[in-house]
Amino acid sequence: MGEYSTLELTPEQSAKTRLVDGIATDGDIELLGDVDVSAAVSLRDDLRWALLQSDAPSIAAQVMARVGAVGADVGGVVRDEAGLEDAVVASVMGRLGVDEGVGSQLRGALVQEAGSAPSLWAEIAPSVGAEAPMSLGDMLRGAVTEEVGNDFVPSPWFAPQRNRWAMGAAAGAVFAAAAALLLYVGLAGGGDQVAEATMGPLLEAPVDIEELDAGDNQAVQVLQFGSEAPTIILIEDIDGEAP
Amino acid sequence: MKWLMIALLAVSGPVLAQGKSGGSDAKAAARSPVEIKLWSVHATNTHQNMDARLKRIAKHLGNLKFSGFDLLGRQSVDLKVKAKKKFAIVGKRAVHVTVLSRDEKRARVKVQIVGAKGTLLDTTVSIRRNGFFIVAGPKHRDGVLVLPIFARY
Repeated sequence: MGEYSTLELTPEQSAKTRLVDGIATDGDIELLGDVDVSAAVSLRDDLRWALLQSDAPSIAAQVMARVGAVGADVGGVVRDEAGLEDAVVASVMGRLGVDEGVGSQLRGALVQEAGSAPSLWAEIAPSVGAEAPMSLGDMLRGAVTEEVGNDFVPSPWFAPQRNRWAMGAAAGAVFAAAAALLLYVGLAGGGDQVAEATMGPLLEAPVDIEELDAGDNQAVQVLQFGSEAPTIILIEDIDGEAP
Repeated sequence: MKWLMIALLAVSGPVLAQGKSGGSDAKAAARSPVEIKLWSVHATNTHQNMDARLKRIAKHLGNLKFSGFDLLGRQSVDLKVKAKKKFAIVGKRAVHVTVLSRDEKRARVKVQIVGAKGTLLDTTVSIRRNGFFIVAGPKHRDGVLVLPIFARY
């Protein structure tokens, strides 16, 4: 313990001190009698004024800065309060991490514990006319391939309201058929699109294409709208220049 | 099976008889010329008018994504089998048409479209008698050129 000195007050001084502080007892007043306490009151006021003028040190910011820099000693609290071994505490703190937020760690822990959410595709597929094991992407790709073929060249030429089946041919492609190549699209019955491709001639088709050769940088599409409609051969410059 | 054979003979008999008696006529018809007609149509989106002279094929032109169609010209020629004709069209292009053969129902025609940069299209088609087909695509001004090609005989 450090050394310190004490100052003992006389009963009169103690009574005077309590009087200037406003806490004098009847005994103090009787003891002091007619003693002039104005000097003591004046001294008290001077001291009080002197103390009020001094700037109170702002310790809050320093304290908070200090606390923030140090951080909460979670490991210490766990160790002290739960009485756990250091190895266990280190393991827990390792799981929580020191620099990362607890939120991300908590989400990871939850996912790890609960596992991944099951796919909803099995429940959704029947409502859209698909089978659960079927890949939606494969289904769409298959539908597109079935409709337009692998060599389809998109073209803004045709009005979108018309059903059509298009065959695209890259530059230099040659179609040679022993009899004839017929590309026929018919709108049968209630408007269902019927696409047929056959190597044999059909007399109702306006044109059978035996050979078809496009120039360099030319794309060709052959279209047939209905059995009595004329065949349309489209040629388009791949580079966008006027052919 | 017996009835089937009889039925086949009944159906094929008149055809065979016609083939024997009309052989020379068929050969003569095969050598007769085919009238090839070539129309030049300008398809554009700058207007929505359909040339009145295109009324017959207007519904087919409607498949193209253009609102207006102007008939630029009509050319025709009688071509015998193996004969060839060059049609000059707009844009310093030419359409070469060769009649390869014809029969009662169809005419085989070779069509070549040549532009400034070379051959644009080289095709051989079998056109139904009095039928036609359409070649479209060569750019022309603010639209494209549409070429209906007819085979009349």
